[in-house]
Amino acid sequence: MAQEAVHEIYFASEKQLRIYKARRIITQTLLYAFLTLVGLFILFPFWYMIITSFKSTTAFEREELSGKLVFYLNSTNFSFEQFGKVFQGSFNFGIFYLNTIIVAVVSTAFTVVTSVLAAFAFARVEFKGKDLLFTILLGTMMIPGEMMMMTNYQTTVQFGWANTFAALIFVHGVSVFYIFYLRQTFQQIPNELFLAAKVDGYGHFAYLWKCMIPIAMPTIVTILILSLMGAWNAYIWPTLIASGKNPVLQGMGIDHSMLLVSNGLMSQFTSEFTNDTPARITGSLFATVPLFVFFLIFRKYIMRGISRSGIKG
Amino acid sequence: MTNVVNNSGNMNPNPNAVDWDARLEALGISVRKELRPKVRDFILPEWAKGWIALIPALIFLILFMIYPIINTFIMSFVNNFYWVGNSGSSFVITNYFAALQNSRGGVEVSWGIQNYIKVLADPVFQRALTNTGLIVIISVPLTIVIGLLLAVCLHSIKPLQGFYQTIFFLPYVTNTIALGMVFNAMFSSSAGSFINVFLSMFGVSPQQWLTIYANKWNMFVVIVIYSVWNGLAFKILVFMSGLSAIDRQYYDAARIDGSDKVTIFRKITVPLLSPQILYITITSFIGACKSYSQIISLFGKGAKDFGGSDKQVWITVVGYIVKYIDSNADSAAGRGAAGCVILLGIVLLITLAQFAVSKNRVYY
Amino acid sequence: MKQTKKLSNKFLITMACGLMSALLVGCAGIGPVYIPGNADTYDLDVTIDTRGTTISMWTGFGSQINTVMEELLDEFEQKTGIKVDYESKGGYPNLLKAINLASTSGSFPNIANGYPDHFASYIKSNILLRLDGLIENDGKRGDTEGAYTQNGVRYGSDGIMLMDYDDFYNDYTRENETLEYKEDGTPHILGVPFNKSTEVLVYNATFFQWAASREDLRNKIFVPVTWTDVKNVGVEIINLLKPGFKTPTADGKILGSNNKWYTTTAEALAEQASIIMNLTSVDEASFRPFSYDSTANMFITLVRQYGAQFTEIDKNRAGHGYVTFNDAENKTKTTEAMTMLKDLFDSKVMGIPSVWNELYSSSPFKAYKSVMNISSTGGLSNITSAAIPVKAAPIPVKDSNQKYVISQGTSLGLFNKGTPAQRVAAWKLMIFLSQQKNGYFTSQTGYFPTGPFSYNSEDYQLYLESDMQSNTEVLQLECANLNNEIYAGADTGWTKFVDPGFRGSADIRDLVDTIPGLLMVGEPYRTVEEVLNAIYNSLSDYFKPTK
Repeated sequence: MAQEAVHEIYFASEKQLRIYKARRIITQTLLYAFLTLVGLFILFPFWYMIITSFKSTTAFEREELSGKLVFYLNSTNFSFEQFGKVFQGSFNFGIFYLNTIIVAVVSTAFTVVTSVLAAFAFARVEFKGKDLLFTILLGTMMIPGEMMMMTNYQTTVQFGWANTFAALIFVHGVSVFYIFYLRQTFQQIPNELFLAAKVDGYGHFAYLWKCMIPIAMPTIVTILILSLMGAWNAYIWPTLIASGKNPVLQGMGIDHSMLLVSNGLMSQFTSEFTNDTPARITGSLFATVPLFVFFLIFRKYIMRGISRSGIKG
Repeated sequence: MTNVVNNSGNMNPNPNAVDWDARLEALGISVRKELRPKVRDFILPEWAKGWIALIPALIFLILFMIYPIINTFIMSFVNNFYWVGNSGSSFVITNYFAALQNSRGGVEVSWGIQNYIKVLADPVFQRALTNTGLIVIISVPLTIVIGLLLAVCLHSIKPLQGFYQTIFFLPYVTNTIALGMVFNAMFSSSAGSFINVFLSMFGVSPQQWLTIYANKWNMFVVIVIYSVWNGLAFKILVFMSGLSAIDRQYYDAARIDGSDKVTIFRKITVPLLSPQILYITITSFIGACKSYSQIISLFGKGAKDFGGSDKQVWITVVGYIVKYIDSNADSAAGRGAAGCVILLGIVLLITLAQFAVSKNRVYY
Repeated sequence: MKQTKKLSNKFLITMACGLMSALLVGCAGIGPVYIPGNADTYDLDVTIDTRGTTISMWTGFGSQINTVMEELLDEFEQKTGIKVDYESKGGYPNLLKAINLASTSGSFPNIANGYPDHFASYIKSNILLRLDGLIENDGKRGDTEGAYTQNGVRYGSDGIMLMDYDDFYNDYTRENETLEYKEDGTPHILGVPFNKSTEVLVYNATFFQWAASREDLRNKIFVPVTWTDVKNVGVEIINLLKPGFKTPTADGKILGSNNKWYTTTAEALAEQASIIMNLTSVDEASFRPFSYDSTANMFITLVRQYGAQFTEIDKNRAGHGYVTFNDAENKTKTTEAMTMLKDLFDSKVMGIPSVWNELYSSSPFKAYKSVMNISSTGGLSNITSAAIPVKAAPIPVKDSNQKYVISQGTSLGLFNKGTPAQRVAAWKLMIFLSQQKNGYFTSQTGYFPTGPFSYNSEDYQLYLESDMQSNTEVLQLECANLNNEIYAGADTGWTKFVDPGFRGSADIRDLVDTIPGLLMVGEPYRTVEEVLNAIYNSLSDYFKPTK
C-alpha cells in the first residue's frame, strides 16, 4: 500500500516539486532493482528444477559431468522421459492427493481453532500459572521432533491410530509456534477495546469472536497458509506411521493406501531412481506443483487477507 | 445491547415470549421458584475461562509434546535403556522395570548420569555444538535483517507488489529435500557450475564447495546461502502481515512532522513491528539451533553425511541426536536423550535471555 | 447478551468435559501387563488349522519388489486361505525403527525381514521367536491327512512344503546362528535367508574385449584377478589413455579400435574404426580406471582378504560384539591392506563415488570416467546403458587362498505375537518365501537363491534359460550364473562371508565407511596408521575388555 497515495503535499516552488518527483523516481527504481535482484536469486533454483524436468537423464548427466550446465532447453537435451517415469506402474497419484488434501484441510482447521483459543487465553485472560505454562510450552519448541517421535509413535499405536487419518491430524495438530505468533498479535490489540466491549456487556469469548478474530485476521490467514503447506510437505512422520492401508476402511472392505504425496513419491523413487537426479527432481516438482497452483489461484484472497490494514472502528 | 435482565423471573416483557413457568405448572411439574438454579447468576471466574480456552490445545500438547519430553528427560538418566517387548507402555519407568525382569535382554539397565558424561566428553558432540553455534550466529541475524528490509521495500511499492510477494514466498512451497538437490547441483565443483561461472566473472578460480575435498569454510558459505534463501519466505510473510496492521495515521503524523524515511523506519516501523520481530527472532534462533535436514539435503549423500572426508565436518547437535536415535547400540537411546536435554537447556537459556532483553524494547 | 455469554460458557465447559472424558477412556487399559514371554517355539502345534487366519508382514522394500511380493502373497492366500496384511516401511532404517517402537505395545508384525543387527535388537526386546522348535517339529505336518509328496518333496495338506533347513547355503544360515546361544553353547536359529546379494566386478566390455584382441595390449590390460593386477592394469590404462584426456585448452579425444585418437566420432567411423573410449568430457583428474561403490564393503572385504578380523561377537553375551581390526593381533594385516589401498588411491587407479561427488559410481562409469566398477548385484540397473555393454567378473582378491566376497541381504524372522494359529500361519509364509517360491522370487528380483532347492526350482531354471531383452536383465542373469558357478561353486575356493551382527554393528560399519575417503584425501590424517588409529579409537565403546 503506497504511502504517498492521495496526499496533497504542498511545495514552495516548482523546483521543489521536481526535486521531489526525481527523488521519488530514484528511490522507486532502486527499490525495484533490489527486489528484482533478490527475486532472481529466489527464482533461480525453481528455474533449474523446471529445466531439469524437461531434460533427458543422459543429457543431464553428460552436461553435469562435462561441467557445462545448460540453462535452457535445446534439441539435444529436451525430453519428456521424466514425466513418463513419474506416472509409471501402479502409481496412485490420485489417492496420494486425496489423502493429503483431507489431512491438510482438517488439520489446518484443527490447528487454527486450537491456536486461536490458546493464544487468546495467553494474551487476554489473567489466570494463575499463565507465565509458567507459556514458558513450558516455549520449551517444547526447542526439542527436535525426532526425539518426540519415539514416544509419539508408541502412544499413537496404543490408541489404535496406526495408518489412520487421526494419527496424521492430531499428533502434530497443535503448534506452539502458531500460538506464540497469534499471542503476539493479540497482545497488540489495545486494552481500551476490551474495556469498551466489557462495558457493552461482552464477555471474554464474545469479545474474542466479534472483535479479536476480525482484527487479527491477517495473522490467522497467515497461519492457515503456513499450516496447509506444512501438512502438504510432511514426510518423516507419515512414512513412519501411515505407510499401509487404513484399518477402518479395510473393515469396510476398501483397500485404501494412506500414503501422502511426499512419502508416496519417495517410496516410488528411493529404490529405482536413487541415481537418477532429474527423475527425483521431477518427482519433487510434482509434489510441489499442486501446492503452487493452489497458492496462485487463491493468491488474491491470501494476499488480501494478509494485507488488510488498520483496526476496524 | 442494553437489555437488562431483571430478577423477577420475567425475562422479557415481550408478549411473544414463552412463559415456561406457566407451562410447567400446567403439566403438573412444580419446582419451587426460589430453589431453581438461575443460569444467569452463574458467572464464570476469569481464571476458569482462561483454562477452558486452553484445554483443547492443552490436551494434545500434553499427550504429544509434554509427555514425550518428560519421557526423554527420564530416559537420559537411564544407562543402556531399551524398549522392552510387550511391556505395554511407552513410559520409560515402566520399561525400566520390565527390562530388569527381561532375561533375554543381555544388558543391564541402571540409573546414573553416565549418558551426560559420555555426550559432553565426546569430541564429535563438541564439534556439533560449535558448528550449530556458528550456523545460528551467522545465518539468523543475516536472514532477519534481509527479510525485514525486503518486507519494508515490498510494503512501499504498489504495482507488482503481489507479484513480488508471490516470488518471495516460493521457497516455502517446495520441500527441503528437493531444494537441497538443486542447490547441490548449483554448487557443484565442476568448472561449469552456476557458482563457479559466477565467480569466474570476478577472476576467482573454480572451487570445491560440497565435495569430499572442499574445505570447511566453503561448505559454510553454501550452508549460509541456503539457510538465508530458505528462511526469507516465512519471515517476509510475518513481517508483511505485521506491517499491514500498522495504522497509517502514524506515518501520516510523522510525515507532517517532516521526518525522513530512515527516521520513520527507526522510530515508527521498527517499534510497532517489534512484537513480530521478537517472535521471528526467538523462533528463528530456536529453529537454527535445530538445524539438521537442510544440512543433510545440501550434501545429498543420505541422512548420515555431513560433508568432508570423515562425513562429520558440519554435524550439528540434532544430527548427533538423530545418529543415536537411529542406532541400536546399547547406550544409544540414553545418549540421544541426554543430547536432547542439553540442547533444551542451552536453547532455553538463550530464549529467556532474549525475552529479558526484549522487555523494554517491545511495544504492544 | 449475558445469556449468550453464559450459554456459550456452558457450551465450552461441556465440550471440555467431553474431551477430557474421551481422553481418559482412551488412556485407560493401555496394553497388557508385562509378561516376560517365552520365545521358544517347541510347544507350537504345526498341524493346527490355519485356514482363515490373518497375519501381518512388514518389509523395507521399494515399489518394484513390492509388486513381486504382492503377487506371491496372493498366491499364498489362494493356496492356504491365509490373508497377509503387507506393509513396506520404505527402507531398512525405517523398518528397524518401526518395529523397535512397536515392541512395547505388541503392534509389531507376525513376520518381517531384517539384517542380523536388527535381529539382535529384536532379541534384546524379547520379540523375536527362536525357530528351533518349528524346524524340528515341522515334519509332523507330513503325517496329517491330506499331506502328499510330489517330485520327492513332501507337502502339508495346504500345499506348503515341509521345510528343509539343511538345504539353505551355509554361508547364509551362519549369520542367523551367531545371535543367541543355548546354555550348552550351541546356537539358536533366529531366522532363515531371504533376499541375498553380493558384489561383482562390472567392466566395460567393449574396452576390455578390444584390449584382449590386440597383441600389444593383451598382457598389459585385462580383467584383473588380484589387487596387484588392479594396480598394474590401472597404471597401464592410464598410460594408454593419457594422450586422449581433455585439457583446459582442448576437448578430449575418441579412441578408435585401431588405437588411434580422433577428435570426432564421424572421423573415427570414416576410417572404419569403432569407438572404444569417448573421452571428450573426461579430464585426467576425474578419470579413475577402477571404482568401488561401497566404501564400507571395501574396507571390510579387504580386511578379510588380508587375513585380519574385523569384528568379533561375544559368545557369552548375546547380541554383543567387539571391534578387533586394529588390535595387537590384527593391526599389521589391516595396515598392510590399507597401505595397498592407499597406494591405489595415490596412483589414481582407484576411485570412490565421492571423487565425483556421487553416491554411486554408475554415472561416472557411463560417462567413460572409469572402466571397472565393483557394485552390488542388487543394483545393476543403474550401470547398464545403451552405449556401453558391460560384463561381470569375480571381485579381485589378495591371492588365491583368500577368496572372500561379502554376502549381503536380509533374512526372515518370526515374532512373538498372535494366536498359535497365526504363528503357524506366519511359519508357513516363511517357508513359502524362503524356500518354496524362492526361485520365483529371486528370478523376478535379481537376488540369489537361498539354496539348491530354490536354484533347481522350475521358476529359476526357466529364468536361467530365458532370452533376456534388456541390458539389465542380461547382466543380472550373468551375475546369477557367476554366483552359482563361481562364488557358490563347490571347488572354486570362494567363500561368501558375513561379519556377525550385533547391537551397534551398524554404527561400526558407518564409521569404517569413512576410512577409504580419509585415506584418499589425506586430510585430516596423513598416514595409514593415523587414519586407522583415529577411527579405531572413536570406537572405544566396542573394545574388548582387557583382563
